[in-house]
Amino acid sequence: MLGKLLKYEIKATSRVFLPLYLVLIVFAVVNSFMNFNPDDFSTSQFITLTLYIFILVGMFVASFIVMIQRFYTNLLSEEGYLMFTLPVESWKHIVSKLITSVMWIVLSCLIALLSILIIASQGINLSEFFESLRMIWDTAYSYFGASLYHFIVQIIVGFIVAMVSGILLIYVSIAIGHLSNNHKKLLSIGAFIGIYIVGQIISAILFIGNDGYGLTYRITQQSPFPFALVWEAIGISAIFAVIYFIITNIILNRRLNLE
Amino acid sequence: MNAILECNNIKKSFGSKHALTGIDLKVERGRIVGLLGPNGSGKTTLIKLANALLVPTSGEILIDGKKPGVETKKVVSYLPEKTYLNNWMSIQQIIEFFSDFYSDFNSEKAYDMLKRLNLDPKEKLKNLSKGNKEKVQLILVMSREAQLYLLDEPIGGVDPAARDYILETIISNYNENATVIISTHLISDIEKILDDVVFIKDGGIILTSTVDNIRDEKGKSVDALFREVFKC
Repeated sequence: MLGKLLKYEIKATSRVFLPLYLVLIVFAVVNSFMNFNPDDFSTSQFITLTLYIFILVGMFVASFIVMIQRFYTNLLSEEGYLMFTLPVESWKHIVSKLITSVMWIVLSCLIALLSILIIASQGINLSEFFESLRMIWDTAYSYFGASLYHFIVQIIVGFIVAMVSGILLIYVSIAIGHLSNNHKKLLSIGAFIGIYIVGQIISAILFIGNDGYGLTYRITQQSPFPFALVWEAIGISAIFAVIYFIITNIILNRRLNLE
Repeated sequence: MNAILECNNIKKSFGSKHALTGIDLKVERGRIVGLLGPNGSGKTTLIKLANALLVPTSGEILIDGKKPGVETKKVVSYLPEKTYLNNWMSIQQIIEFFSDFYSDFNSEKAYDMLKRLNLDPKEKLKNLSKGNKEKVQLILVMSREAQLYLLDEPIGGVDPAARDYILETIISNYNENATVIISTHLISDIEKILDDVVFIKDGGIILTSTVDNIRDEKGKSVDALFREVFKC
């Protein structure tokens, strides 16, 4: 059933993202044909570049809006009558929306990178570009040694955990807002700010420590790179995510009150 | 066999407002039941509880002996009073959606009914009029071969001609072991298809009876009795 939910969630959201990706790539290609020369910047170049940047920013704004809108409209407005009477556990609704959001954010990042490469491909020599990438890799390798792979895994996992935690923070805020009869949006925003501040305070205590010897201190004391401690930091973020998830699920199960 | 729906002293409050004040009810299989009461009497709350869209404050509600959840949702076909259709699918796509999620959904039946009501399967849901949206929802709900149909105000928004077809659809589309519960305040329109009635007022049940009993013992139509009981 989770697979089916995912299928429809991706269908519902791809209507927004696929055209955006296409337009972004088209504009990147158009830009790549405008030979950029910093000394001679024509109006048409300026316009196409500006449009490209608008679309690029718009793509990330859309990811954010769609994330909120799918959770609120599909689950907590009238469409909720359909979704919550499907023979599916409520946690699967949360997970299907979460996975879909993560997927679009990651894809948006990749498409953004691709579009930048397309624009740059005109001005730079691609083989030189890849050569310099290799040099960066070599430098990093000489610093980290074999644990460079560990470092990369840590960056990717850290990025995904931070993203999941952020998305679930938004979900739990919307779910808490749903508990209000008359001021759902206001309470959602209040919940978001409140939880965010509490999260920051708890993080600050853990990272700085009341004696100043918290995670941050310990991380900076180690060399070449304190993997275990960074995992600890990622773990803390994951614990926040789990708490947000559980609260959201409890509200959807026990306190659902569709209008 | 368990009763298809059983409520044991169900209470539901929203803050200080008491929507249901202690409902005891047992509905057997193979019946068409009218859940009748004025606006705000608790009909929708009761139906939402049976669909796990709300959780009772106290008491117990059982469907086929089970608490509302994933298992009961497989056998309950629910028509809410709200329009839940999204704005991006076509009729065809939502039929596919239903047959994906409900193993008891009969697509053939759905397409037959669409044809009867002159609805084009390729039409986008967002382009349908309010009445046609209600028809599509009813078709979706009645195309399932469920054990319990919970219809909340199924005929409120459609014209009288479609109303007759819809009622006919309801009685001809459920098997004899299934139960249909219809909540409404438009009694005269549905009286002729009902087996039993439940009168609900201010969150409590004030009368349960078969329609035959009302006619024989009180010598009245359900509509006339309703007007008498709920006189303002």
